[in-house]
Amino acid sequence: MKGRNVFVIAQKEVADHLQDTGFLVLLAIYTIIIFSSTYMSGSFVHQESSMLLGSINVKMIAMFAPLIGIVLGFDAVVREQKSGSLNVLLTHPLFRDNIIAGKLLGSMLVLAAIIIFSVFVSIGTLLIFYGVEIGYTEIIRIFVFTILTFFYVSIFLGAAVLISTMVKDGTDSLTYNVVVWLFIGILFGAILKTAIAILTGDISNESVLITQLLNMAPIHHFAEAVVGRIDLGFGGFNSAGSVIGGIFDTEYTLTQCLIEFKMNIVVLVVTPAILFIIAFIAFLRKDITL
Amino acid sequence: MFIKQNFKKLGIALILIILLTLPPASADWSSVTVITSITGKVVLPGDTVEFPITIEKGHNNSDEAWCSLSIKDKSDGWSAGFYNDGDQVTGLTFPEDKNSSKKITLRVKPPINTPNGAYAIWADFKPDDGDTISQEFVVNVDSEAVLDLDIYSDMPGLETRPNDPVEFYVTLENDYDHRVTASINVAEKPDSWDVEFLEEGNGKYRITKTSIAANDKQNFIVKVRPSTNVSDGTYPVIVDVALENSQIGVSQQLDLTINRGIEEEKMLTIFPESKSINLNPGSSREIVVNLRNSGDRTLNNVELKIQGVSGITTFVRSFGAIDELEPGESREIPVEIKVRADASPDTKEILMRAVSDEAESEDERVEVSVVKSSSGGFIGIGMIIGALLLLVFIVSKFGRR
Amino acid sequence: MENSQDISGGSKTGNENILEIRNLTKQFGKQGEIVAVDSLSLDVKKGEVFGFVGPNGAGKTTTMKMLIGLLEPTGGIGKVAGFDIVREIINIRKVTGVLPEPAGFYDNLTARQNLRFYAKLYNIEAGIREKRIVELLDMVGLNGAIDQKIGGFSTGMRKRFGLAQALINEPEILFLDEPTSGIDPKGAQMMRGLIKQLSRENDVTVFLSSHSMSEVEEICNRIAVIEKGKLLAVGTVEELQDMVREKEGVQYILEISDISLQDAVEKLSEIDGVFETRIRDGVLHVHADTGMRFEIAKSIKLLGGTVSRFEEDRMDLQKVFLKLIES
Repeated sequence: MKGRNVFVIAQKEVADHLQDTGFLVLLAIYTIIIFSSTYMSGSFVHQESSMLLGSINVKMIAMFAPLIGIVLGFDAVVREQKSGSLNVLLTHPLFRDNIIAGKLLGSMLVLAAIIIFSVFVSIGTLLIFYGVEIGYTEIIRIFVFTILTFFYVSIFLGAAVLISTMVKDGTDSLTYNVVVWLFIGILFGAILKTAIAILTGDISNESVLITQLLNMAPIHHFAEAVVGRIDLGFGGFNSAGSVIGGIFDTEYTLTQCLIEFKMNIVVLVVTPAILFIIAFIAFLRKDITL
Repeated sequence: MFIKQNFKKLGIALILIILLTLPPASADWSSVTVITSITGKVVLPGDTVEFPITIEKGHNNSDEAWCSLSIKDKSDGWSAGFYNDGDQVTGLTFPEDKNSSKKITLRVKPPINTPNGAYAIWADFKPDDGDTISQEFVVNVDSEAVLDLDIYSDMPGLETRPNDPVEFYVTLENDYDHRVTASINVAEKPDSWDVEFLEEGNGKYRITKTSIAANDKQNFIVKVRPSTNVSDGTYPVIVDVALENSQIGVSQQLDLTINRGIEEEKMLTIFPESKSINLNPGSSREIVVNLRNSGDRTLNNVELKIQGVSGITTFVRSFGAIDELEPGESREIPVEIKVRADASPDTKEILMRAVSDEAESEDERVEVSVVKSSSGGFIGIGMIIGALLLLVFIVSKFGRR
Repeated sequence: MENSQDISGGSKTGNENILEIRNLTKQFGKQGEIVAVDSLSLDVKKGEVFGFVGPNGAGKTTTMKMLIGLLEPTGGIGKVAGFDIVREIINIRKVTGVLPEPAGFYDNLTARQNLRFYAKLYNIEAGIREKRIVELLDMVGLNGAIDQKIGGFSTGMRKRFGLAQALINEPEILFLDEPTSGIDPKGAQMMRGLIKQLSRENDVTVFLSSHSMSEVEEICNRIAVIEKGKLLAVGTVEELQDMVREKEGVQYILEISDISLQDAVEKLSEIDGVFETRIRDGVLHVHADTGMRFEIAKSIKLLGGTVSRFEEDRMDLQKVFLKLIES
């Protein structure tokens, strides 16, 4: 009964998201953004090893996909708490960890669905409209890309759930989340660039300091693992981080790519897990007034 | 070309003479035997005639023997001598204990002004032991006789542009029953034209002399490069072939017509590996283009140029231009043809041309048919259906509350 | 709700006391300097409607939280339906229904969807679940709003829905925290009616907290009065009244004639056991020990007065409560 209730909570979370009009509008907009940016970049000439993979607008996904995670997680706990429904829920036979685990599980499921949906619909439409050939290699790379994107966005989901556990108000949660998104997401590179330039006068793009500091940004790891660039944010760094152009570089085998970007992938996988655990603990320690 | 006249009549005369002279010259006893199968021949004044002679040592003689050879009698101004393998000999030595024979040739050359008629030549074969054998050879000088050397060309007339070389194929036929050596010369050609005689086998070595076995023939190339400023018209080039021994010979006229109206032959040619390819949007294919120097001069800075078409990009996969391309040399250059993802299904033509400092090739066309991938489209439909099914599954499984 | 005995979960219904607590204590703060509940001992019998009364901040909610396993006591032991309140929380929750205060529900869901969600937490089979949802909403008078979103409910409707929610698992014992707070008198009356009906028809033990004495007086069999974490008194309304009378004396109201009221006051004041006598609106209000009735009547007669009305001013629970707290 204990474990089963995790799924009851998860199922409710999924249903809540799926029947939320605002959420569905966001999903549609997101899919359209991914699709149109992919379509547009597909019409440029690419020197990349794979035309199809080169068409995927990773920059756009890297910047805007985190919003999905934020929307899914920012009011996960705070809404229940504020409405008092958490009080009622806790009087039923389930532990607190069931609640937070269920919520995370449900949100991750929706997240996975959205990412798979947007990537599949975009690429599928591209295949139909352009009539380009798709090979086994590309299918595998797209599959790996989907998984990496899922983990990347999960970082923001984890952060959003954590923030929603700590704040008192849904609006505060959203504000903090957007700040997090702007700082460690799209603007991290630009801010870092400016800060380094002001503090050290060094305007080169490849100092060791920058490389180390960039490691703090999830977008850096995502960018490096997928396309081999050190940053994909807005106005950030624009240099290649590796000889291999990420998992989209079909000149190298997938194994070679995975080995080359082992660290980035580990960070992408471990960070959401750590954030989930922190959110989990924060929720368990939380004082919920009856 | 000489015209063979009265061949039959002369042939019959020749046979008659042979029949008359058939009995072998022999003495009552001699340590050697002289066998002559032919003792009469017809010859042109000034030409050379040869009589084959076989000398055998006696049947029962096992001692060493020798035989001296001499001309006993000949007409004034005639030259006659015995030859063995091309060297003039005056005597023969036979080793002991062997019944051996030796073949020699009596070569007779009447002066060029010898009147027609039959002339006798007496040869003496004097062995070391026994009687001297005298043998008569009859040479029938006939100014109407045919030279046994023939020259002809199957295509003695060709047409070209100024400065474009042409090659005539000429055949030389030896009708003698012995090997002849002849020198080849240009007897006549327009000024400042280049005429070369090239060996047929490789088209490269220049020849000045040719040696042809008895009753054999030989081909050679007469390469003629007309001068640049020559005016249109037909010009004769006469090739002279003279027999080394007699200095008399045959000639062949080759006619080269200069016509500025005919199209210039390309020195540089290109051959794309395939002239028509099918590609899916977004995909690429590498084709190999063969560049060849089909001229006879070295070409510098040879480069392949490709004219792009909308929707298709091409990359020449080589390090810039080829510094030098020798005549006859060819290079293969890979060219990548890439179709843009949004290219419409259509057939487009890519123009390619090789250029060098000296010459340009003709334009070659490669047809690129852009064909939408049906498998890609099916996979696309599959992906969309999959995505929708996933959504439906999640909504139906988790979406209700 | 036909028979709460059928509820699974291994409850030990043979025990007369469905709820037992001994020296239950809850301290907050780093050194435990704040004592929210102080050595509370209570028994609630099966089938009772038990009122838990006290001013705000007296420790009612804290006690209730401990009883349903939302807070761990710092001392003492407790059993609900035979399950330990520390070690067997989930078992307790299976056989209890709780209406907390404040109680929030999922506003974007309808009443039916909300109940369905809670029912799923008990793994109730779908057919039974749907039937029960309708029955419960019918019982609390929300059958007209079954497919309306909770977001549009009034406070009264929310409270009644909360009651239905607490009953989804057919509990043996209901914990109701301030079930009528914040709703209009009519709604409160309806709520009280429901609670009485539940107790009467469904054999459910009800443990309710309230700061409204009249409410508790109306519906509860027994009452515990708590103040600053300490139990002041437990018993029926009458027992509590007696308790106060024993301690505080009784108010008698006398109408007398033939003598002046002032004389009577003077005379009565001389009697031992009469604490205070006052004239109000032409009648005498006498505060005296219990058992002084005869003595007072005799004194008036000796003065030559005639007693036309002599009655005890019975304290309502509000007064009893105040008296208990004052003492």
